[in-house]
Amino acid sequence: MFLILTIIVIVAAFNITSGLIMLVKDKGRDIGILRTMGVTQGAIMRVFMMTGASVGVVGTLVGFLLALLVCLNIESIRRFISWLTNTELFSPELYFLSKLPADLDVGETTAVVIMALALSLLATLYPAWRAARLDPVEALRYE
Amino acid sequence: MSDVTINDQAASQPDVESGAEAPPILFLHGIDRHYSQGDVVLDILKGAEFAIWPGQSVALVAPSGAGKSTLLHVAGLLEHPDAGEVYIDQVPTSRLPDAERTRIRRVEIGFVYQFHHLLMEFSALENVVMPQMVRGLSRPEAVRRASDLLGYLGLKERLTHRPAELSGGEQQRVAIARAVANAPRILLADEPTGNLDPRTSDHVFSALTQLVQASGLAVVVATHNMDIAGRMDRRVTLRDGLVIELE
Repeated sequence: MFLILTIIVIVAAFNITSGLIMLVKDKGRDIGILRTMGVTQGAIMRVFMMTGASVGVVGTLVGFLLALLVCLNIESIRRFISWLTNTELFSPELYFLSKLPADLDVGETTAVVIMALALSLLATLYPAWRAARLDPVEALRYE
Repeated sequence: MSDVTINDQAASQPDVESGAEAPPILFLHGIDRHYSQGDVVLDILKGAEFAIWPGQSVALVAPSGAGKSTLLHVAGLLEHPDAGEVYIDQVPTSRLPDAERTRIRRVEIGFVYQFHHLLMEFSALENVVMPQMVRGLSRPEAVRRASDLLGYLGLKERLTHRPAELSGGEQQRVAIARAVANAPRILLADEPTGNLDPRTSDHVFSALTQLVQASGLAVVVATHNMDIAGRMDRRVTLRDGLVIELE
């Protein structure tokens, strides 16, 4: 399960990277202005890392709460969907289950949350580095 | 009009205003700068020498492509020269790490561009507050100073307006306010009135002159406008990669 979730989070982290690369491209002129103002490369890097990390933190938190909600109420959700669609989901005759199993493992959940946070932070490094390395003269030259 | 190279007069020109031997606030010594475009190497600056003293205004008049912007970028520590040294208040800067060059830029140098280059998502006031907060001032103090500065430049009623809601002349005055917000000692302006009609251009230049006289900063203005150039203390041009004094 951890491996599957890791792969899913890696895909999501790539979305953060590509989104941030687009943002850096879009904000090139503003980065140039800030650099001429005397904002350091480190500060520019921190701005973009914080932007990406905030997406990661909010995403992880929302994902964690939603997963917790689904996990603790899985049987109610199954019954609700069965009632809504007027069908019997996961029929006990077919699946040999009296109720849907959902095991909330604290250790595994913690590991996945930490891994998601770490990967989202890692995903910000390259675009933030690119933003910091942007040449202010080039960024402003063709405006 | 005779031309004189300033190679020999650079390092310690007498301060005419005070009568004292004052060192230049900005001194470019033997600056080389070239760009490569494929196999072609363009020598923009070849041993350029330039010095400016506190309280002095210099017009840099040269045709497009002569290297005015390059000279200003090198002087403003935005570009490294291929050879030579840039002294800011007698401190050689070429070998300084980027963080230190950035600090000098933050404290000592202000920039004004032909296109205002304001941050479009922020109001006029916030654009002037920002460099001060970057320098470390508290927000209330930065807001107070920015309000005073914009008021001084006749923009008291425009503090909360975003750049898109301002006219070209107003945008450029906000850009000037931003450039001097940290009380730099050097102001580098790259065709600050080049995008404005003659009347607005005159207003903007007057605002700039007012600030220069009030603060005693050294200002270099790259311009094509001979009328504006004529109102400055010195006029220089770029020829064959050298800075030539016009008299």
